[in-house]
Amino acid sequence: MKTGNDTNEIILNTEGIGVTYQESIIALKNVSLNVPAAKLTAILGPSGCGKTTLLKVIAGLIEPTAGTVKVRGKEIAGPGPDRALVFQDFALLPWATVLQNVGFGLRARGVSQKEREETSLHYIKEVGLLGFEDKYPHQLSGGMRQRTGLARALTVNSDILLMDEPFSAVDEQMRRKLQEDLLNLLKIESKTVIFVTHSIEEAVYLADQVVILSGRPGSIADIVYPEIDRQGEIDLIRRQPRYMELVDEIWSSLKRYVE
Amino acid sequence: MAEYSATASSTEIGANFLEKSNSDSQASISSEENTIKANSKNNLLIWRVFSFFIVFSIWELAGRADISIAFPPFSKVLVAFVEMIFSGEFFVAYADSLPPLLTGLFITIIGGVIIGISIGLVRSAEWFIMPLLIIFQTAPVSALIPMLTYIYGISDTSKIVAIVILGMPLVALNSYKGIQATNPSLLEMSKSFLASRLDTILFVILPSAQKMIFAGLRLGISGAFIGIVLAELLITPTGIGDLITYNRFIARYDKMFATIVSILAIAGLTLSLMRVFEDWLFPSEKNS
Ligand SMILES: Nc1ncnc2c1ncn2[C@@H]1O[C@H](COP(=O)(O)OP(=O)(O)OP(=O)(O)O)[C@@H](O)[C@H]1O
Ligand SMILES: [Mg+2]
Repeated sequence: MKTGNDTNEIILNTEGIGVTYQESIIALKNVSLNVPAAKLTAILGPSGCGKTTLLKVIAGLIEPTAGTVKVRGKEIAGPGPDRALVFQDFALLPWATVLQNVGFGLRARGVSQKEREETSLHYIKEVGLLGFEDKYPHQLSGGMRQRTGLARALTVNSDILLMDEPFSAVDEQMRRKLQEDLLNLLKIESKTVIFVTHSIEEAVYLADQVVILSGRPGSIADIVYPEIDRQGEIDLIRRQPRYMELVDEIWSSLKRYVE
Repeated sequence: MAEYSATASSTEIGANFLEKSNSDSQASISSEENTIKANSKNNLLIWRVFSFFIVFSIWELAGRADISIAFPPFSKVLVAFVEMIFSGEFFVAYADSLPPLLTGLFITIIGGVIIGISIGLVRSAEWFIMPLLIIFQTAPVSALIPMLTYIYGISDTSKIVAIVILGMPLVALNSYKGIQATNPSLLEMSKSFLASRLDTILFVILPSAQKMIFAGLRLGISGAFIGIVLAELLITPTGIGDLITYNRFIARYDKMFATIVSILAIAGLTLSLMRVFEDWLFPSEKNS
């Protein structure tokens, strides 16, 4: 459904990623993954299987004990302007307003204050937080904090958006709205998204590619390509036989890791 | 093209819808918050005045109960206090005590903050300075103060060293702890958004350590006041320490207590100034 660009370009790939914490806790084992450009890739797996670890390795925040991450074929050496991360715990500065938090990435890139505020306000509006730009994080609900973190990641205009359970802190209605917004955003801005989720439904509904991790140590158990037709009402989509089949299929492959 | 505009407008509608509900709840939040803030501020002031009133009342009663001649009632101390202001006794004493006190405070504050922040930021400095600071913090340092006479004699230097010894470890240790306590998740965030080390220090680490640093400064200032009084009582009988000793010697206990009250008042004033300075430096903190 995506227009124009070459849909099969691999923008990011990992080769044999392994992460061992403190020389004994094996979090990830031999994870090799291709991420197609301008598509949504979901990482799904039981709690504690290493989803956050994998995302942080891709973000360049954790150096893997084995393997490499490549963006457009070039090995990464830490965080880069091509990737922006939305944190599971929001990671907002408690003493800074929404506007200042959203502008953090731009400030670090040396963008002038005027331009910073303009861009920040644009994305604050985009995530539906207009009117809250002068509030502090403790004055926001969990979902609003999450959207602040999302807006911050959007301002730096990276090609690859990494999101760690981006819709976990919001209620069901807000989740659905944000999911739709995300799909719309991707149609407009053409970004590659890798997101971590606990929800099989969310993965199937949003993603072009669902990567299923096994229980700890996390390794790739299965990769599923939903190819859901996302035109029309969500409720109708959620009632498509293909949709329900996929949810069942993924559930049966995940089930054995959830004891 | 048609698809593009359709999605764009649907985002807009969603955003507008959110905005509306948001601004409603925002209005109620902020007005509620303001009244709570105002109330708690007034209450705090009332409670403070009240607690002073209680302490002074108990003092007055205890003083009148004739427990000891060395314990005059508060009213007498107050009279002596005013008397000493106009007789110039305070002026003479503080002319002696304030210069070393201010010098000592200056060194304590600047030195303590710089040392604390440096060892917090530079891992390699940690093993070297930390043991010293911990020793100074836990050892009965006041016992060391008489020994300063052997090194610096009866001089302002002795006073300054006493102040710094008692105040600086507290400032440095708290600044260090504040830096160390920076939320690692925020550091990761800063790194992932490509902030330079300097930006990370300025916009993440220092603001996050601010509360601890200022808490350390308040402790350090209290320590500095203890330092000057101890130095003047134990080694160099000059200034306010001498005023206390002398008035005890001639049994003018009202004046002795008035001197002590004056020190407490000045210490309290300095701590309040520190608060004002903190609020001025970090105005956003008023909101939280
Ligand atoms: N810094 C660390 N030191 C040691 N062990 C860690 C560290 N971070 C994570 N782990 C361990 O590695 C494993 C994977 O952690 P990770 O946070 O990546 O899981 P996750 O899949 O994101 O979990 P969740 O779904 O609960 O967010 C866990 O068992 C965790 O205990
Ligand atoms: Mg996680």
